[in-house]
Amino acid sequence: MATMRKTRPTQSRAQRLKIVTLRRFIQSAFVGFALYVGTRHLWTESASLDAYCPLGGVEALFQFITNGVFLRKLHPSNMVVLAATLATALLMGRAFCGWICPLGAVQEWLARLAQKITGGRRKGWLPLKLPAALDRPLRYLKYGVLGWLLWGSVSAVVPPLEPFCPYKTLFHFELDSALAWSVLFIILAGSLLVERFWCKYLCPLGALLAIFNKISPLRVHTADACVDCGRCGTTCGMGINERSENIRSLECIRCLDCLDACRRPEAIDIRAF
Amino acid sequence: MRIKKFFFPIILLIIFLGVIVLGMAAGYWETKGDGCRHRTESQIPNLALVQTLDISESGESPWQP
Repeated sequence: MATMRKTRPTQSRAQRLKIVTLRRFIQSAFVGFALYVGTRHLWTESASLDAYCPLGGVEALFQFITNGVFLRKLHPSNMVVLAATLATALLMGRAFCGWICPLGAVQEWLARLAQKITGGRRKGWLPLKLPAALDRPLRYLKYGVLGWLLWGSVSAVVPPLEPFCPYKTLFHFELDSALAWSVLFIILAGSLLVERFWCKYLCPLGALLAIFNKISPLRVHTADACVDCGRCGTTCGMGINERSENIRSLECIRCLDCLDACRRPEAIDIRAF
Repeated sequence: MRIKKFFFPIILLIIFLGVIVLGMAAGYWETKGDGCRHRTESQIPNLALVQTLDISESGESPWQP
């Protein structure tokens, strides 16, 4: 027993605290805010949830630059939120997806629920890990969705994603459209089966922010102390198995769950530049 | 340069909320239709209408040979 204590690396109090606890708290705050805005709009003439969506900024961008007009339901606030999202992406890549996006948080909660229902962390068979031959090509779908969205926004009057946006349907309680509910149901059911189904395969904002993963200076870094135990890869909700020195994967959402999972505090950390 | 893991979300929130606050302070924060021009159906170029105008400007009617 004494020998084991000697070999185990020492951890400071800050290192023992789980970053995932803080992340879940921040995610819950943004989910709460989205629900508040969505509910408030139902009863009062306050701003709708569309006004707070960074993807709305992407959809409005072309028309705003060329004609100085906004697509219906979009406002200057969308540009401000988009600017804020891009500012975080420039420095931290897809951190918005991992920490702020309310739809991402709901998907994570669903995946954890599925895991608990099917027997917990070790025995649970959900969420599934798709075979690489299927998973890898599916991940390119989101770039197609982004391309379609940008192309559609050139001549659109309403935002192209608006009729079936799952974020809006979920937090805005859009009950009148069967199409919107069907899309939301598919995404939520998909999230029970595959963790972050929407983020991995379909999210156009995730596709846009993924590009910044290649240039953002703040990233997860693995050191020589890494023994390739694979715990980080097993924990990763985005299914990244990359253990290169600087993790620049397009899929990394900077959730830092890998830092919590690692038993060697000196093996994995966050580095700038 | 090594960054402590608990500084990561702090930096993230400072940047994200900071840019939003700057946008508000600069007067760009409009969450409703008032004050911003929205695209309407009539702003979409109508090909049929454009063709009709071209014909009428030339002074010739396609219906009278």
